Amino acid sequence: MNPAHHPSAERLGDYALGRLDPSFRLLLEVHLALCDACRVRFPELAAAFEDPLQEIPPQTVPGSLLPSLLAKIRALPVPSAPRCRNEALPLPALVWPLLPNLASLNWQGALSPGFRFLRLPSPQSEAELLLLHLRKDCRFPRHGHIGTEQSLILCGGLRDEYGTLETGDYEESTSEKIHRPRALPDEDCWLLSSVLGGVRFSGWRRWFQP
Amino acid sequence: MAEPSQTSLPVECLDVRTNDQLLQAIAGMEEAALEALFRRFSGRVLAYVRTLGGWNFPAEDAVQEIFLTLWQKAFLFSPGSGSAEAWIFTLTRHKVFDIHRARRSTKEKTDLDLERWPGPDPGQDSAIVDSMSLQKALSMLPTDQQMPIRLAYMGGLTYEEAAHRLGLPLGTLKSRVRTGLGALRRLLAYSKMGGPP
Repeated sequence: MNPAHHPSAERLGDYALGRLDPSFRLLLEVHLALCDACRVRFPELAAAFEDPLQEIPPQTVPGSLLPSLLAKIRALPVPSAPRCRNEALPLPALVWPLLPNLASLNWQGALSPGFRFLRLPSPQSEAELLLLHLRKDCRFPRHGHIGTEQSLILCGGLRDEYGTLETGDYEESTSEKIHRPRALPDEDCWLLSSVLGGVRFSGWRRWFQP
Repeated sequence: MAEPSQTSLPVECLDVRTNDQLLQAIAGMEEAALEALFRRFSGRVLAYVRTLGGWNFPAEDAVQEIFLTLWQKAFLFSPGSGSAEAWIFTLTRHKVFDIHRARRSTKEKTDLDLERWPGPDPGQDSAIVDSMSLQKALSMLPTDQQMPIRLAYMGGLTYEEAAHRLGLPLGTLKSRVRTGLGALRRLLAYSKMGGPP
């Protein structure tokens, strides 16, 4: 797959250094799963980062660790299409192993007809991690961002004042960006969004803000 | 928690495949490839986790979780385009970072103990030596590089959190971490050749 919008080299470097917020990390990994070009350029960036601590001499590993690891691996469930309650979600198989369990979560969304979202578990994350679903041609209210938002299109696409995002595309929005995205007319749009600092709506919808 | 008894893994690895080839085979769910990679890297990963995690860090559990994650995410690595080793240590940094944050959020460790970190692990002679060298090398860095490294690289804070804490612009903080790590690498290399620290 060849998405058109990619994370910056700086973001990939932060990922290599292990300093990304866990929910931002998830979006970046989903992008890597869907983007051949970034899978090729990432190892080069990671190798360029010289960590002095990697050179420390090895230590003895308990003999019980490997059998225990293999037992855990054999007990892992086979990745399958993510489900929310009884609904199978039409997300690309490549990202199935990366997504948290959605089965017991509840859909929310009163902002716009055809729009709903799940708040995903993201332990140790400062940002809020969301799975968003917009029916085809659904318009999302005009809004801005208080902090940083990172978005990753899982399938379908969105269009706004700044351009079009399609499957695998990764985008980072800052507080300057105010936009009114709309799902493409021919396909439902599913995306992951990681929001640090919140979203600012205009009009009556501002009452939905925390 | 893993059993405390220490049993050495065989030093030799009979699998002649490269690290890249092993990662590719792991992406195809080949257990033997994971076993081979574990034998090659687990000792280094354990030493790295103990050094990065510091005193009282659940290092052996972390090693197991790192290889479990590697099993699940090996498909994200693109063989032939870079170093499998760098990829493995990237996953390792993520795990250490997550454990640091989990411990802070559960109040097990309410704040970073900058005076004690990184503490040597009793019973690990080589770890003591290396942690002492590292501690010395760290203390030789200029303060403006030392604190960013302690907080943002070894302390489990995000860059944003560390920048806020130190009252630095994000770009400055990142730049100081990278410059400081380069200096740390040179100091440790000098120490291996017999010079201080």
